[in-house]
Amino acid sequence: MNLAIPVRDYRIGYEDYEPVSDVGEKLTRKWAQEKNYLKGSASDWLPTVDASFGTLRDECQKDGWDGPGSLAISDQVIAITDKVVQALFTLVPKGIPAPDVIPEADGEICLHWIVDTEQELSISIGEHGKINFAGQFGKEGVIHGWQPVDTTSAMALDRSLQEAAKYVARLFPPIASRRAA
Amino acid sequence: MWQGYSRQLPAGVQPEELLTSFVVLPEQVDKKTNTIKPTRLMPRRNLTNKRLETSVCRSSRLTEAQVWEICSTHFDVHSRKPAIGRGVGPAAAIFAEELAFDADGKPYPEHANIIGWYDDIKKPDSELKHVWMDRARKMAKKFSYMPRT
Repeated sequence: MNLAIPVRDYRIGYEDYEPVSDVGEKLTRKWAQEKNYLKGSASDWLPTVDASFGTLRDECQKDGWDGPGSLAISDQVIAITDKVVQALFTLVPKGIPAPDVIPEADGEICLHWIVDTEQELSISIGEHGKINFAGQFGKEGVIHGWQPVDTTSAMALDRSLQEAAKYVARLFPPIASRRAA
Repeated sequence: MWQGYSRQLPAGVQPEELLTSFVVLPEQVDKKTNTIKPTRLMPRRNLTNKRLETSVCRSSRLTEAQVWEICSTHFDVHSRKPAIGRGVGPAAAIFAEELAFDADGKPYPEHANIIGWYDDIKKPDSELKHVWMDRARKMAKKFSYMPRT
């Protein structure tokens, strides 16, 4: 006789848990970050991006860093970009490489992911509460647009970056080696 | 010594001409493709006439030494650091995006501005930028990076 025991999986995951307190929100976010964080691997965005922010602070904090008319990259823009990077990191599947962090002459910061010349995505971040994005997904076509981002809380930011995270993930479809990274 | 100001250039930029965009930071270069990042070709708003412009150098008829002479004289002096290299691409890539040139020849004869960028005075730049990003993205992949010599 076989004994069959029904096993139901009641694990609470990041996707199905809605925090109601500040502590809960922080915990959920930490949970999501840990899910993606693999130190020393391609998944490990934060040290790479932090180093890039250091370069921006050194090189671009005065007007004119990129010739006449170029505007300084402010601490405020770096702080917002940092929040956006951390939010995206929690939202995208693990194994996706860190973006290139590029200063822009209008004082904004561009996050750029590129697979090859036909597959890339740029997200530009400023102090105005919006992101602008443009990309190409091979033969599937191109996208570009803008959307508001809510930086008032980590959860609000996560919500407003859902679409952007999907675009990033679309550039890097799951492959065995990436899942194992 | 370079005697650049006697050179003759066609009044209008021709599709087969090569253009140079000076690069200040390694972050403005895509190492995977050895092209410049799209940010390098994004327009800036001219404070005088409010027009959107991307500054380039018409470099087809210049030697490498002449290009860097122009860079030293007209670009490096305004930047925090000297340029580390340049992106070089065909004018045809700009025409392909339905943009145009104002070959103003100022402050040096080979200077031109890429113009014709999408604009809408009713909207803030923060809601137009994505259109410029799309154009710049397509053009940038035609601009190969060459380090300074």
